[in-house]
Order: sequence, then C-alpha cells, then structure tokens
Amino acid sequence: MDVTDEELVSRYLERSDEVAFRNLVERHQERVFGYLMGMVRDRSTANDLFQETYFRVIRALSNDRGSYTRQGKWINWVMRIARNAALDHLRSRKKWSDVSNGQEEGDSFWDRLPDAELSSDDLIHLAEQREWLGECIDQLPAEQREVLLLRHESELTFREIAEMTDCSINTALGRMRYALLNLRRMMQASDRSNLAGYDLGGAT
Amino acid sequence: MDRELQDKKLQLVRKLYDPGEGVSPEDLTPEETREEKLMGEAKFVLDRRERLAPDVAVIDAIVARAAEAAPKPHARIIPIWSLQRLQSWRPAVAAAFAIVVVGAAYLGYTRSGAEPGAPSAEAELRAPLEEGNVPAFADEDDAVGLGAEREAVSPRSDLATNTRRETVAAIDPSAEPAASRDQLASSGRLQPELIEAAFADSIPAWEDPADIRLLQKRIEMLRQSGDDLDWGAPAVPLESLPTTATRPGIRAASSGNNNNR
Repeated sequence: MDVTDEELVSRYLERSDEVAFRNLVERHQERVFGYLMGMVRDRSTANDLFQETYFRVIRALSNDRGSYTRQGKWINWVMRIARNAALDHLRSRKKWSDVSNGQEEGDSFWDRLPDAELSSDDLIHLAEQREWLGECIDQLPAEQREVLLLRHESELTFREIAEMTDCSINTALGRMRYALLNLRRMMQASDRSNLAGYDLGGAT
Repeated sequence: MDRELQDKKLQLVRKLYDPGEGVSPEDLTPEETREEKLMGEAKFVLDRRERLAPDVAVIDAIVARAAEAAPKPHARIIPIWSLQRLQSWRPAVAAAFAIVVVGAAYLGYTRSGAEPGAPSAEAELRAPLEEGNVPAFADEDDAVGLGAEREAVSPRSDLATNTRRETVAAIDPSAEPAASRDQLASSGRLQPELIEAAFADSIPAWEDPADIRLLQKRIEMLRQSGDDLDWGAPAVPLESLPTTATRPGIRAASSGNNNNR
C-alpha cells in the first residue's frame, strides 16, 4: 500500500526526509501543474508558479507548519496555495478581472512546449489537440474555467472546489455545467473539431 | 418550478462525474437527455487530454530548497499542549517518585535486618525470656549477671535498633557455624568427659552453639573445684600460707639458698 501524503509530510517534518518531500511533489505534480498551466497558459510561467507554490509550502511548513494540519488533505492545502499564487500572478498582470482570449500573448502556450518528442503522427495529433482544447478552455469565463481546471486537472471534488473558491456546491455545479456546454459549443464551432476524436456533428 | 428544474440540471452534472448519484434516465425529459449528451461529449474530450508535468529542474530546485529548510531533528517543535500536560502531571509524578523511593528504602532496611518471613530480631530476643527457657545457673549472682546482659539486649532497652541488630548478629548461629559434637571429639583438643558433660545437660534453646556449651560447662566445673575458696575474704600473704617447710616464716633469700644446697 502506498504511503499516505500525511505520512510523507511527517517523515519530512520529523526526520528531514527530503526523499519523502520529493515523493510528495512528484505524486501530485500533474494536478498542480495542470491547473497552473490552464490558468496562465504559459509553460515557463507555470513552472515559475509551480516552484513558487512549493516554496510557499516549504516556508509554511518550516514556520510551525503554517496553516497545514495533518487532519486535512495535503493536496487541498497545496492547491489552495497554488491558486493564491496563480491569482497573485494574474492580478499583477491585471488579467484576472476580465476574461482574456489569450490572443494578446501571441501564440498559445501549447506552441511553446518542447517539440523534441513530437516524432510520430500520434504525438503531433496530441499536441494539436492540446492546442485546440487549450484555446477553447481559454475562452471560457474565468469562474467557469477555474472550476473546470480544478475538477479535471486537480481532480478535486465539487465540495472541495466550493470550499476553495468560497461558493456553494450548487454554484460550483452550475459553473461546471455552463463550462461544459460552452466548451462543447466552441468545439463544434471550431474548424478543427476533428481533433476532438469524437463525432461532434450529430449532437447539435 | 424553476428551482426544481435548476436542481435537476445540476443533478445531471453530478451524475456525469459520479454515476452513482443524480437522476435516473427515466426521469429525464428529451431536452435534459440532449443536454446530458452534450456535456458528456465535452467531458469525454477533456478526459482524453494529456496530462502535463513541470520541468525536472523545477522539481530539483524545490527539493533542494526543502532540504535546506528542513526542520532539524534536535530543533523539533514540542506542541504546547504536551508541555501543559506535563505540567499538570508534575504533582502526580513527584508523588509516585516519592513512593518508589520510600518503598525501596523500606525494602532495603528489612532485607539488611532480617530475612523476609523470618522472626524479627526482637522476637528472637524476647522468646527465651517469655518461654522460661532460661539456662540453669549455679547461683543467683550469675543469674543477675546474665539478667543484666538480657537487659542490655532487651527490646525495652533504649538502645537503638542498630545495637539490637548487632547483638542478634553476634549470637546468630548462622553467622559463624559452631563445631558439632563429633567435630569437637575428633579434634582432640578437649577432654572427652568435658564434651560429654557439655552436651548432656540442658542448655538454653535460644542459643545452641557448642562453644558456648563448653564454656558454660567449664565455668561450672571450675566453680565446683573451687568451692573452698572464698572470693570475699581479704588477701593473705603468700608467706603465711601453709607449706611443707619445717620453719615457717619469713626468711632471707640467702639463707634459703644455703639450706637448699
């Protein structure tokens, strides 16, 4: 059986076990990084925010464990810190108040991904699909996009999303509903709907 | 009605992510069924989305920072509640420690004084007196003398317990094994008659070493052989004692020498 997050935290705090801390970071890296990528749409910025998130985590842990309690879920606490880091970044760039379509940044972050591994047609297809899907998500209203990212990237429950975003569960469910319907509409309206890997034509 | 419709649509979302919950398909209107299908298609595409991970260098930098900031084992923070709990237990711990110390001291005292379960020294001293098991003495003076000794070792004495303990240890047969009757006879140091007489008579039950038997018997025999002596009479000059000489009285040493020649 895998070691729990709380046990890894205890190993780091009580035995200074940095391997345990590495396991903690790597275990949830996709959940945290995927959310940050969806929020800032830039890999370099997402890397910086990912690092900043865990620097804040380390600082909070060394400072009498900060706000983290072992009774709570580790990933929820980390995701709250990641969200604050992302919002701080977006506020500093005055991009959180309005819904950006990402066009002022030039190409999407998917274009900046290292393409050294794109050696097969399948990988090219996946990269194009990511680009297309990212553009669609980027066009969602901020609240809908955030709920979608927290649910699909960070794998939080709607109750956890509601607690994190300080809203009711019905509000979180309603934002998710609109996000899915809007995303479906944008996919079909796109001239690259074939990237969805699903026949979207007959549904409308 | 609008509220119920809204709740039903939210139930569709809940059902999409948790098939065990939400409304059953039979309860859905055609419009709700169509909406459920649209959301399901969007979710299908999202679920197939490739997951992304940060650069390895970023992970390494985080772990390096974590190693620097790791709390040192000797500097662990003791929760404040545990300190308060220790303080609240301090009187109980002190009382328990005192009980343990007193108990250990008591056990050490009793073990050094007498074996557990054995009669106490006081009981051993009192027993012969109470049971009338007193040795027979030739005259009252000896009895008085021994009575003085008993008084010295009596439990009523004001002597400290250590004194009684020393007395008991001194007369304890187990402290120095006494020679048996056979051993004394085989040693050849004493006359057989004396040994027989020593073991023939009754002796105090509370003290039965053979040496004391012999000593007591020797005293009695010496007293019997010296019955004609009066210890209370005034001293008599040696010259006045009867001798085998023809001319009693004081003589010069030179004359005595000549006569002997």
